[in-house]
Amino acid sequence: MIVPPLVGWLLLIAFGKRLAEPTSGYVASGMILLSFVMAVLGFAGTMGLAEGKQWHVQLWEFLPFIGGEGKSLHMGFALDQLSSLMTLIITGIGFLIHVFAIGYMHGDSGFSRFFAYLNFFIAFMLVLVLADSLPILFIGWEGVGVASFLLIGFWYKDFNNSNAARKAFIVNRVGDAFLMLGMFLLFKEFGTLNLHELRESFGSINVPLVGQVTKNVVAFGAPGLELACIFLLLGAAGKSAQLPLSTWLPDAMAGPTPVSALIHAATMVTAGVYLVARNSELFAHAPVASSWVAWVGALTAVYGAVSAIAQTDIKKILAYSTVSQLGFMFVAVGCGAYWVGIFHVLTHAFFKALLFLSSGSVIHALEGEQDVRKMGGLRGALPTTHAVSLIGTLAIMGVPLLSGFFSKDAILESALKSPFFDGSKDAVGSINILLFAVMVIVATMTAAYMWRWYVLVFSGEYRGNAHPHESGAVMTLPLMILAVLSVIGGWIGLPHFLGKNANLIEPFLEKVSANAKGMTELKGIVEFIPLICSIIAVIAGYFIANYFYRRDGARIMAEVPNGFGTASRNALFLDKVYDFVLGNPSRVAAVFFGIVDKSGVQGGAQLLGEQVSEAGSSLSFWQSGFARGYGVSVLIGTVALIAFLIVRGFA
Amino acid sequence: MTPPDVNVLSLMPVLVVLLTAVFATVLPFYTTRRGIAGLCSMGLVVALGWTVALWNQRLSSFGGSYVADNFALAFSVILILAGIAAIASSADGIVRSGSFPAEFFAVMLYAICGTMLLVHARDLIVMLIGFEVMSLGVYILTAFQARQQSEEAGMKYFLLGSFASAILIFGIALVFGGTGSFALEGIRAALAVAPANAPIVAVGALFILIGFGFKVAFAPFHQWTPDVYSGAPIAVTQYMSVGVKAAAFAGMLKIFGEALPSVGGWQTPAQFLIALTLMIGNLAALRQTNFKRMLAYSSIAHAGYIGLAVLSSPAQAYPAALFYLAAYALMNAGAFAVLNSISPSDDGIKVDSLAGLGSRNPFLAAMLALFLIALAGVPPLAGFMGKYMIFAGAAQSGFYGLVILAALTSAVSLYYYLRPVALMWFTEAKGFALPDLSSGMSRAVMVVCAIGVVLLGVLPSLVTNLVSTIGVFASR
Repeated sequence: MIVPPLVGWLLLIAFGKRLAEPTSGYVASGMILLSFVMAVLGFAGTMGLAEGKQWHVQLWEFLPFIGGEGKSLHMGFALDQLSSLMTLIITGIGFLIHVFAIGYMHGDSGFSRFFAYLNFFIAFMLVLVLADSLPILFIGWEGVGVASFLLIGFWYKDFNNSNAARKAFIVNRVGDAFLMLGMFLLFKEFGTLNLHELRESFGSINVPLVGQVTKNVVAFGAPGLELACIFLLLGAAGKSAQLPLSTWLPDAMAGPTPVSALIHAATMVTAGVYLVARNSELFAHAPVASSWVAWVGALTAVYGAVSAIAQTDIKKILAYSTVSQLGFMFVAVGCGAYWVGIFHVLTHAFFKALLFLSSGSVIHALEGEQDVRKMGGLRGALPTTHAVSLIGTLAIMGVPLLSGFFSKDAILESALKSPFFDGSKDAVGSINILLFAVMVIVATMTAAYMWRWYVLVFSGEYRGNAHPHESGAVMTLPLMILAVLSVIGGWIGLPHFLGKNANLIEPFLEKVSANAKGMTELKGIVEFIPLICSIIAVIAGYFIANYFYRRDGARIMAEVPNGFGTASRNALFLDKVYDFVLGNPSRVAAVFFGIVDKSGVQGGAQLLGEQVSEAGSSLSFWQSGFARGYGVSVLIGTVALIAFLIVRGFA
Repeated sequence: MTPPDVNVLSLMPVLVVLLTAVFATVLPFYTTRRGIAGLCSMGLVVALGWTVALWNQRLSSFGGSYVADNFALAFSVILILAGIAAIASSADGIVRSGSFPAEFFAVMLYAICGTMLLVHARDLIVMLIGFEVMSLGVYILTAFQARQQSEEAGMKYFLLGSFASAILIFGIALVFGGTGSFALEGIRAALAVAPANAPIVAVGALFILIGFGFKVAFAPFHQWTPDVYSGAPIAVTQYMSVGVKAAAFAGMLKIFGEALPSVGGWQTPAQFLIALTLMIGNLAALRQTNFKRMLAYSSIAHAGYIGLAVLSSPAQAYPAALFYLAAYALMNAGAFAVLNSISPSDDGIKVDSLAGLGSRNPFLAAMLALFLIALAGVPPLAGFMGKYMIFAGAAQSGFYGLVILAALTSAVSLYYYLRPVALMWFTEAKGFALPDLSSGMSRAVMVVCAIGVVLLGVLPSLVTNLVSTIGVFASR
């Protein structure tokens, strides 16, 4: 499955310059389509896989004798329910976005290079989700990081773009360092980094977990395990743009829009969620770390939603919205509802890819304009784009029966049910209610800022001066497919009250993920509270947005942001805080080390170089070229060694 | 009187090479040099096939003096492959230039024959025969060209080599005097029974160490190496730096790992030699301006790394040394094959003249860059894995100081390995352009070596699984 995109990448890197423009796009898309077909076959295969089983290919043994006899790093790939679902998302949406990009990147001088990078990204993303052990996962993790770096800075001639790329890369490094620490710690605790073995070290998968000390090597809530999980969380936070490592994602929108859709909305940024879900068994045994995951998610959701409200860049709104939605997913996996997190990854991939591609289509139509204040009224000029955007917007707002509704509802429900705070099996704890309340507010804000986005872009009158035109079929077809998926994608995870077998995804994924059975049962009317709240949130958000933003064009242009607006537009000044706290000392340190380096190290190195050269010339004197001289050396050496032997005594 | 214990099957690889060599000696009167080169390659391929077929059988001949165990067979594979690489990458140039008599290939095969005998031997006398056959062949090869440097190098090598052989034979005599046996098992057994003779054996061991140390170029017995390596024809240097070194190390591993591990007295001197070798090899390589000579010094440094394996316990040392030598054979054979293709003469080239090769001849430059980076020990290529295994083995045997020194000096080696790479790719060409003399055969050698270097680096288990049990067999 990984091979086709890799082949595509190699082909395009090697021969990209010789291929005519659309050809390389077709090659790349074809490769992804091939992968997708394989992914479908693999998915069909995993449907019938029994619980706890996986298809496993061990490729090789790396670093033999590491840590003594019998311990080695085995490397291979594994396909199970979770990874096969992820491969479907990656290759399926990847394919659509590749096709879209053929139209979007039309005429760009780096056309082949772009598709080569995209293929490279897909290949490593597949490595990431198919990895059977953490080190392999880490290879994929780093690979997608590189791809992301290359694609954010794709138009590298613009200084801002390359800076954004660097920022993404550096912030990710921080997370990666923690991921590695987590891996080291896990290896120390468990003696393996194989994901399957890690999972098995807790015994049977469906052991009732919460509140019981398991009989296995690592006890429930052991400090080492908790710490390792927190390290993993920080690693995941880097890739998934969670607080405190969230600032890179909005800047990452400097890349071409298909990249934003593919990497920074649908796939790569969900890797953190995948990491937690993949290691669900570990997190299920680490209640403290899990509640951290949930709260990091909740705070990030708030942060993203607040920041999204007053943004003016069409893509930045979506970027902050992505940050916020990722927060939702973290809440889900932090509450022990691992299938819910992946479910939201799936639905979010549909509607967020759709929204990004739609905004790409808008930007394309407006010849590069990205400021929503200069848009409006595009309903008439871009009928298709408008229709699909409306669907996407409604889906993310959580309008009932669309995909976002079901996954968001499931998340809200899991916040109430989570066993990781203080909840007993019978009652909902107060912290659960707090978390639930926060998430409902965020859901309201989501509805508000997304409706604002829709209103500013599509309704009212056109406020700009370009000549908008609808894009060609190569761009609109993927949009329509995604729109359909955004509508029906949620139907695989219907709520429980609709019937026992209404939910398809939960039993499928629970074969591989831990099942925190300490979940509080919601009974009677309480079962409908999340549902009702989420509907109320949608309606409230809609009215708020309408009240504030459905105005005439002149007022939108003239709008002076108030205190809240300024804070929001600057993303709560997080960037400025980082710059002050980390940037300033670094600059001072840089100047200081510059001086030290020039005077001390360089001088020292020069001195050392001279000394070594001296030694070298005495060596070449020794290396005279005369055989008799060499013979003497051999003799002296021999005598010296014998003398040593005599002095030391022969044993 | 019982008939001698001869198992022809086990001897066949050596015999095939020997017979081919005999034919190659006679046939030049009747056929072309190209034909001889082809014949020699064919002979080596047959011997290679036979060697592989003997795997896991552990046949023995001459009452255990000659044993085709997996250790010997694995080394034979390296030796034969190195021979094929040397012939394939140079045959075209030799045929074309006409500066070599056709016997070049025959003598090469005699030398290979000697190396194979050396690795199969489990008896000091048989080992010595192999050692001498190998040495004589290489002396002749070194002096093969009617070129002053070549003749001078051959003469030097012969004189100093004789000196070293004398010390080696003296050592063997002392060991025999102390134990009454030439066989490795016999020596070990005798030492266990009669420890009183240990001092004599200790001196003998030291002499043997020096004799072999000369061949693998341990400092301070290394001084012939730069002169001989840079004086000899490139193809010969290629074989010397890989084949001869591998065979001599095989001999050392056997003698010190199996016959003399209980004898004290040689370990500490060996540590001195290795430490000195690591420092001199790497530091001197830093200052070389001739690329061929730089590779010669770097091969001294590599001898130091492999020397660590001689000190370690066989269970880890044998697989590690084998792996390292296999990796080293690929990297070095590849690098020399490239050098052979871009050198106008057998004097080699200036390092500076590599500037800009990347833009003029991307294929050769990419190949050379790959081999140099691998030699420097950068992951994920074969050189890194080899160093990792050797260092890990030595560290587990407790030689932390040496491992640290080896790691530091290998950091130094980055400079002289990567500078040519940087020159090739990041600077503009100046002065004259290096020629491209590569033939189809030599390019094939490079590609095969390159694939091997990458494969061994990424999938080391391909080889380690095969060889991991060798040390266990040997230390029964």
